[in-house]
Amino acid sequence: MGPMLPGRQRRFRSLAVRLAPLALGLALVLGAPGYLPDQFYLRVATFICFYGVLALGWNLIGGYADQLSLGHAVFFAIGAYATALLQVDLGLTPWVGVVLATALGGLSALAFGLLTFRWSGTYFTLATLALLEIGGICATYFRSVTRGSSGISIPILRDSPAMMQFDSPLPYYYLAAAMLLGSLLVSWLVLTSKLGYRLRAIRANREAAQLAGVNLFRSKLAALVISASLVAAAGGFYAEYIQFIDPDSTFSLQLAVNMALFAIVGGVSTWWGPALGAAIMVPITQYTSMQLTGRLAPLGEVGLGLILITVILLRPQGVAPALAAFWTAVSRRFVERSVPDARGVG
Amino acid sequence: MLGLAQAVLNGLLIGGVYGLITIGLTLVFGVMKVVNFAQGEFLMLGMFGAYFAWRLFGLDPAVSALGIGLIVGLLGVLVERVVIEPIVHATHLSQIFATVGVSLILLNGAAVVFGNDYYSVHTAYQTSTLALGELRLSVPNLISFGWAVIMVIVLQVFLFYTDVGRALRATAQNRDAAILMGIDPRRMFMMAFGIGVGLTAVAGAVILPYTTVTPQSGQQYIVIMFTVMVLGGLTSIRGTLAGGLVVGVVQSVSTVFLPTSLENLVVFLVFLAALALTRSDRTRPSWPMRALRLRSRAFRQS
Amino acid sequence: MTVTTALECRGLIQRFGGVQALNEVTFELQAGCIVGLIGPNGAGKSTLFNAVVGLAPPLGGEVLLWGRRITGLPAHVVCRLGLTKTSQKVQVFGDMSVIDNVMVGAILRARSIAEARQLALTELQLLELDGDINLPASSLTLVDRTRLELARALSSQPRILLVDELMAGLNAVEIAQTLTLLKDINRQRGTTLLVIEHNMAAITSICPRILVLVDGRIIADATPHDVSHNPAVIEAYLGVPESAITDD
Repeated sequence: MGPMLPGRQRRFRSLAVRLAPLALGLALVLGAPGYLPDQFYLRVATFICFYGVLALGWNLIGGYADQLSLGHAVFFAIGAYATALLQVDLGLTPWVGVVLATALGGLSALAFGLLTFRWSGTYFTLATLALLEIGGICATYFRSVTRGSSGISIPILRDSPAMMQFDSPLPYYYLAAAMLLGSLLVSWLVLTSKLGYRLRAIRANREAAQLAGVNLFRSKLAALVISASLVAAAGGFYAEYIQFIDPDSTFSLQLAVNMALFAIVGGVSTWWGPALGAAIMVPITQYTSMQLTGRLAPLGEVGLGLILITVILLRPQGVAPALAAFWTAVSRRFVERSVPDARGVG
Repeated sequence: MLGLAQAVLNGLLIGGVYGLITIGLTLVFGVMKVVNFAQGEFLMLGMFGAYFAWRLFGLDPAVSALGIGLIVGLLGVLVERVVIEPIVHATHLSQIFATVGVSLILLNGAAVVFGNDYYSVHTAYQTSTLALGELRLSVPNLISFGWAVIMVIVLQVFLFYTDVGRALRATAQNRDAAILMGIDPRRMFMMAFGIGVGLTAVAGAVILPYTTVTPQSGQQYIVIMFTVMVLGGLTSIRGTLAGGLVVGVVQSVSTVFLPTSLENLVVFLVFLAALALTRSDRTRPSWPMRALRLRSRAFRQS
Repeated sequence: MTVTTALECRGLIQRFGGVQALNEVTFELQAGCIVGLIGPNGAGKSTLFNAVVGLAPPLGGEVLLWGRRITGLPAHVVCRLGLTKTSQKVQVFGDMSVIDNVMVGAILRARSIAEARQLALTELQLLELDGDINLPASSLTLVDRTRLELARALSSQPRILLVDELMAGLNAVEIAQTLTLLKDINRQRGTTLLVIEHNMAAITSICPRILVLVDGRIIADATPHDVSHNPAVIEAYLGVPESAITDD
């Protein structure tokens, strides 16, 4: 290797190296309809985006703040039911409904946090489980509002963009993709902000964080509110996409576990890891649910459990850090290698 | 009034069993400081084990309970070696989600093997009742309550009068000191987990006569278990038993006033209340337990 | 120029289980001073720090910061008010990088992340930790981690800093450097320091005033010379009212 590149060129290359994966990701997400062979794959891609939002949302509180929620589906359900009820009972267009549902998710997170943040660690996790179950029971019991266990069906209007209904899967994909990109942005903004430093500090050493002036409660609450808002928004989208919701599918422990699982597999300490986790795991779950039917169907979940345990035992930081380290190692030579000049030096 | 008294009586009987179910969870947490989210699945396995012992060999669950407990306990040791032991010193996230992973595997594995049907046993005494004045005691409930009392006594004897038991208690109270005294913590973890899930499996066998089993059964009991554990002060055996009685009575009495669909809601609310009462101070039992002066000498954290 | 009271403790009481950890502890720190705090192991020195700083609020008594009552306020509020401590068992953010460790403290006063980073770098340079600032804190030696914790504490710009056994495990050269550092912090920034230390020679060289804490009670508050000849102090350390104390 010859002489190093001059500083300015090095900085330019370094910037390029950091932006390249972003550009690639953006191209992959936005260009999906171009390279995916048919509508089935587009549907899977839509689910990848959707679960990516959920996993990123969970990670804001689970990964960054180390408050491990096993009941995050509560916010998902609140978002779904709010959007659906606003549409079905008040005729409100889901475009507004989803926004309101997002706000409602954030508000309920405030109440949730005020109640549960006095408990740390495992206590908090148990409390989230209880709240999820309570939510499910209430949704089933208060039939007059929520239609109980019969669920709510969004009337199918075919081609009606004003009511967020399209007759092709393409607009749904772009909607989901927009939500994913928005969530990635939020995730990055939080991590690189003062809140991000505080959350990481809380996770690393609570006592030291307090001594450094970090208000544990306020920081965790902020993370929870943002987290719940993202998850509630995804809930609203789900209601419009699947066009049917009921207590079992929304207040779902399986969904709550999956959110966390995807984030863990992807990498909880990074801002983009959970999205990667969704990109890896969703196709796997789609494939297994197609191949394993009837009596064998639960084998898919067994597989998820095995993957979860394997990741935790062998690589608890997830896939993302390794991928990032790989890219840094590979691109270092590009950044630092000199340009061979006419005399063939270097 | 009679209905209420009957409900309280039923609640006590069932509560004793709730206590037995939870003691395994308490034992694991006390010694290893890990909350086993898969504990419900070991209960379910105990129930299925007892079912098949009845179906294939005609054994009454009350008879096969110990054997089933032993088998499930051995399975527990295997799980502990492979999954739990590596994460005992790891992050919260690893601990919680490792046991969640075990839960996923066991629950869905059972669903693949047994399907989603409901299985139940038929014993001669299943519907018999004993009279206590104007109240009735259901015989299966009585038998399971009796089992609960026996197992708790056996456990107390084991923990206080055997060397291994004392070693377990030492590890629970102060792991580092126990190590310095020559106790091998890995062996302790193995024992605690094996005995812990074995006890829960025994409880599963014992409750089968008056309930049905399906792969989802474990999930139905897990929040009850957590409620009982939290009410009982997390690490005390007598506290766990008392907590079980409280939860049993509350659940039973609530069915008198509320529709059955809300019976679990009450349990969950009690759970949140129990959490609120214990605050974030894990070493002190909740005030009801302190009020009742139920602080067991076993498992008090230092 | 009047001298103001930076920190005042009145009758602090603390109890753990059945043990009386602090028994009516009362003292004052004047602004800009360096005061030493010594006492046998288990005397309650770290407990006192925790009570003052808000990590373990006292059962009784008052803590006044610049005349304002702060008893029982949580540690993060106390830090914002300009009082913090370093810990006997060094507390850093192990998973975070060296620079990030200090930035956690710096973001308290800085208006932006960039400004916080500048503040953090300044503190790291002062403490000679500005080598590889992206290393995780857990990979540093104990001595470096101690200095990292100090850097983080300083970056929140405290007016009063409680220092708990900064010099454990240091050799003579490092001790001298640390002493110079403490003197600089005190003189250049005007930070009031209360220093717990077992090394008598060290503490004597920078502290014109020493408090002696034994069994949760202050039994002496005087110059190093007077303290070392105080019979009660001698008895506390050696159990016999004989010769003067020597360093450990």
